Amino acid sequence: MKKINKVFLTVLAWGIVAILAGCSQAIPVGNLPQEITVGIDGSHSNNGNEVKQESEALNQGEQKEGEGAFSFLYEGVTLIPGEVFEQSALGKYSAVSEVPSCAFDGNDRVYNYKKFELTAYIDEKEERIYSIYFIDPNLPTTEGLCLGDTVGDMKSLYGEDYEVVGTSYAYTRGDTILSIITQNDVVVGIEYRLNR
Amino acid sequence: MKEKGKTVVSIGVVLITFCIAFVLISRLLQPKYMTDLEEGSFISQYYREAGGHDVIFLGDCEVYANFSPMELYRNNGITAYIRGTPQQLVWMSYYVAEETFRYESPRVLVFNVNAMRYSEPVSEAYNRLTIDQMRWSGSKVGIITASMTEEEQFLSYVFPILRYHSRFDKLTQEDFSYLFQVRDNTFSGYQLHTEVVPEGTFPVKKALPDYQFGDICYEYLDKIRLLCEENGTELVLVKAPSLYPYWYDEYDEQIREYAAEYGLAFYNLAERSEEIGLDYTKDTYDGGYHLNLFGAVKLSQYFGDILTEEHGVADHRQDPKIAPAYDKKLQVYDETIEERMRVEDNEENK
Repeated sequence: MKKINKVFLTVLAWGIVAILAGCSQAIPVGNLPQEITVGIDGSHSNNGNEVKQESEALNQGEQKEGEGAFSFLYEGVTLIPGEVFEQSALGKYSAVSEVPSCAFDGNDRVYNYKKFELTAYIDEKEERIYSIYFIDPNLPTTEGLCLGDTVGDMKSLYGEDYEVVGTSYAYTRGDTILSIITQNDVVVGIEYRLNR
Repeated sequence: MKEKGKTVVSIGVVLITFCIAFVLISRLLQPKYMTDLEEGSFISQYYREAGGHDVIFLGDCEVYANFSPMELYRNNGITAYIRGTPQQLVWMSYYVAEETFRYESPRVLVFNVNAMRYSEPVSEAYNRLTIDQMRWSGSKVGIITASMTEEEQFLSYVFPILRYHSRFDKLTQEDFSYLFQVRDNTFSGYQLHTEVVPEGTFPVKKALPDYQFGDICYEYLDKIRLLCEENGTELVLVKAPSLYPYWYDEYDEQIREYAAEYGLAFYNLAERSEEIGLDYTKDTYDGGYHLNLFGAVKLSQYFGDILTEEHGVADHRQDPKIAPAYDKKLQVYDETIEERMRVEDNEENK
């Protein structure tokens, strides 16, 4: 009888140990509730551990920063989605807001520079560029496309290797996307962004 | 024979001990959502008040932050409950509605259409906040299946220990204090915020590649509509006031078309902010994303009149079977507000 009890107690103990230890491989995510933070809109997200891992993978992976990526040249400053955002290089922004991140956990900072809006995400205390959205109709992309240009202008500058989503054309280079939104064949939105 | 009986008893004792230990450990490790991330307990608070509501609200944070059932009762005698959870997507709202109809058939179901813009699950964290504390039923199975992200596993909802085992070294006082007890941190689903954070700055209104709502959103909106029809409940669509994220005209048009096609009422309360009397320098607790108590009072008064006048929702303030309980709830609600404001005043004066 005592033997049987011992056997079952051993099974019980091992069962609990197996559940607590062994299952970590099945579900690799960590301690959900303590990683979650409440965003500015009452939304919830974690502290960005996954962002860190993803960014490290991005930075150390097959492709070096900036190589084979879309870049936006503005007043001598080159801005590349995924790269570290050097605020000082662009001068003073006219407004900044913090919004829940669309692509990452946590909040993004959206800097308004009047002619464009730059969205940055936090990666291990460093701000990296997520997207650049054009506001000023006279602001050209590095290759010369402006808001108000035609789809024909776009094709002559960027070619026809694009993906169509709704009324937008998405050109991909490495981990970056140049998204051009049109309405009645006229460009109404231009955005450089990280492909995430 | 006697020895065999003893063996069976012993095996039974060991198995029961195992089950109790398993349940206890699972319960201990699961987040309680009582003081931290309290939105995760909103879904289960309903069960303690289920039944007898004339109006049920469904949707995301725009319902539980903006509409106050206590104000609806105070002004119009309406019995209402908000079954809102963070980032409640349309398929989630359907299964929450399905579950609600197991407990009651309200006269009106108010659905906030903000979530129509999302066609895919957003994150596991949001899923957990809505699903973790839902009672087991076909609706819970449905909501898990419909909501899981690619990385999630169904079994981790059945056995939460699979998901939360690593919390062992991160347990807090809350995990022990609320191991066997719960507390309500809403007023019939309304999350009370008395803070004032005036309207802030927002990103520019971007042109979107595609404004069309996803097929899956329409599929589940249809399901909500049919569920309401089956239960004799009127479905009312609303867009709650909020300054951000932007609600595009193209979104509004699609909802208006849907409402017109099926003869549903749709109220875009965001575009009626002036009529409602909302002042975003005072009536928001987070810079314009959601309303605070002062905004919720104004919105609830406005929408309460619509429910009464346009949808014939009854006034229960003189109903001897209902009024005493609601009057008591109202008293607790008012005392809580008074206490919160007193604490905030003291902090401001420090």
